[in-house]
Amino acid sequence: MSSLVALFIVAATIVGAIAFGFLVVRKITMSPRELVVGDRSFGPILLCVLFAGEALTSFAFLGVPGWAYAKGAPAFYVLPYSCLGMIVLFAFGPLVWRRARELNCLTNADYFASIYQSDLLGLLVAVCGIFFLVLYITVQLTGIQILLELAGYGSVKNVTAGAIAFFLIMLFVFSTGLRGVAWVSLVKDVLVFGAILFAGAVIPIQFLGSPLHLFTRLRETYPDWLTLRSGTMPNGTVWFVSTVLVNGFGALTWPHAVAGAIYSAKDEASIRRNAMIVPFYILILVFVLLAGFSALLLMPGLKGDDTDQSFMRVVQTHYPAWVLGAMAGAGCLAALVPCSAMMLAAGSLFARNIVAIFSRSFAEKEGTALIRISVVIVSTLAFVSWATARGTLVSMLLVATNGATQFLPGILLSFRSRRPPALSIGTGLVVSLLFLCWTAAIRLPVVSGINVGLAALLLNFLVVGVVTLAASKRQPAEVADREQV
Amino acid sequence: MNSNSPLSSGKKLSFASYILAGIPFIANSFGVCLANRDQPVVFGFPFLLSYLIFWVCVTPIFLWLAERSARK
Repeated sequence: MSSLVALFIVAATIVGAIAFGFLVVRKITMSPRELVVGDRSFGPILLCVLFAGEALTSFAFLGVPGWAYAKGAPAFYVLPYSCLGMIVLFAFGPLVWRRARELNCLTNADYFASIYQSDLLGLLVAVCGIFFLVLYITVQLTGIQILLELAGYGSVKNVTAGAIAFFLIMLFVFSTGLRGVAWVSLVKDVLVFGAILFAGAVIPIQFLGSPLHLFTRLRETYPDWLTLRSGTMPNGTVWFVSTVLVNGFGALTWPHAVAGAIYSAKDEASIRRNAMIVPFYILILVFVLLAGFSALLLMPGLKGDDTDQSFMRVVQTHYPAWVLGAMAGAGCLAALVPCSAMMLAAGSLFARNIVAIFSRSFAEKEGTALIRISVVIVSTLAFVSWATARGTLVSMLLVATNGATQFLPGILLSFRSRRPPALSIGTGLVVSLLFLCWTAAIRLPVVSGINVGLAALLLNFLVVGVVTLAASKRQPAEVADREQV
Repeated sequence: MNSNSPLSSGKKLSFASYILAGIPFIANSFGVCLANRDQPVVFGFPFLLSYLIFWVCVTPIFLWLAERSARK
């Protein structure tokens, strides 16, 4: 009975939010630009909910409290990394926006292809981008599955319910595009804020006296939980700083973040203002950490993947079904809405940078329809790979999160007046990704304490430098030519 | 090739604004190594966590100052 109540509330939340999105975005003339980047018309508020939406995915709902539960202080990295992302966005976002508008770019791969004048580089960036996004979408799918199982008190075991939610949101992004996603993000954030405040403030106050008493209790029971280990030890300070750096730069490199928070802006000031608002938004993650710590004190003993369910288990045990339903509903939205932004980014990469290589005229004539169909193709691909090979995907996940940052050299070097050749950017990308795949294969998350993502990034910059030098030695005439300009 | 296009209407960050944006960047990344302590406790929060929360709160102020010192 209580599982019915909870699941009904979850369904109502999802359907309600999507219906709201449809209502707001009814009469819009659709074009590829409207679909993918909202016609470059978003002010700071829509940018903020789109971007901060990134900070509030199912990872914030399950993964971060799970880390606080299982590891303690290493989970704190979500605070500085999001801040770093905003600083990077503040400094470089407007530079990217300016060039993207001038060259009429809608995707990350468009940007690489037109800046470095190579469709092949665009293709490479698109293939990598889709691969990363598909992996990231499958993480959200796992999140939805966990939340539905929780809300069903264990009665939901198959993937049907998750599949329905997933394809519902796909249809939604299919018809409304990024503008719809932005408006639904607004609803999602209100609900997620409520859920997180409940988990991070109400639960500790009710069971432990106050959020502050929580830390006193933690010090008694888990004395080393509130500080990092030193130096190069696993999850030590070196790991912490390198992880913050790698993930922070992701704000400038993840294809859906670039489309959603940079290309869609109406002007450069909106991007900078957005970067100043989002840190306040990020503070909500402090409550996520408190929720994870409370769960550790109230329900110790969860192991392995179950730690992800930390505070939701507390809610399931101690609160009525409707509370659990509301929490799980908010959590599902936290997974679905970013998912839809990723579907859109992956679909547009597929349409504009892969299909268009083979037939540019077809891709231009059928622009909007082609992107929509691509969204369906890519989402189905993500779903099928999730349903069939979940175990393998989990081990590939680090390749995706660290891999997305490997677009950084190509983006930073695009600001220079003398740009390296496409070949060097492409080689750097391929070499660093091969390095990441190798580290994933031998299960090596750190190189002498440093997050492999940062090691790969340094390797990437090195390769770009070497290949550029080698190429300029081979064509001295061309370089002399450019130096004159 | 032409980085100063006719469309670039926005502000350009000055040297001072890069310094101002760089301060929270360093504090949020490398600075963490110096703040990795539990004591002193600030409002009940462990020192490391309060350090991080502090920098989340002041980062916008630094960015605002950086924006102000950008030249038109």
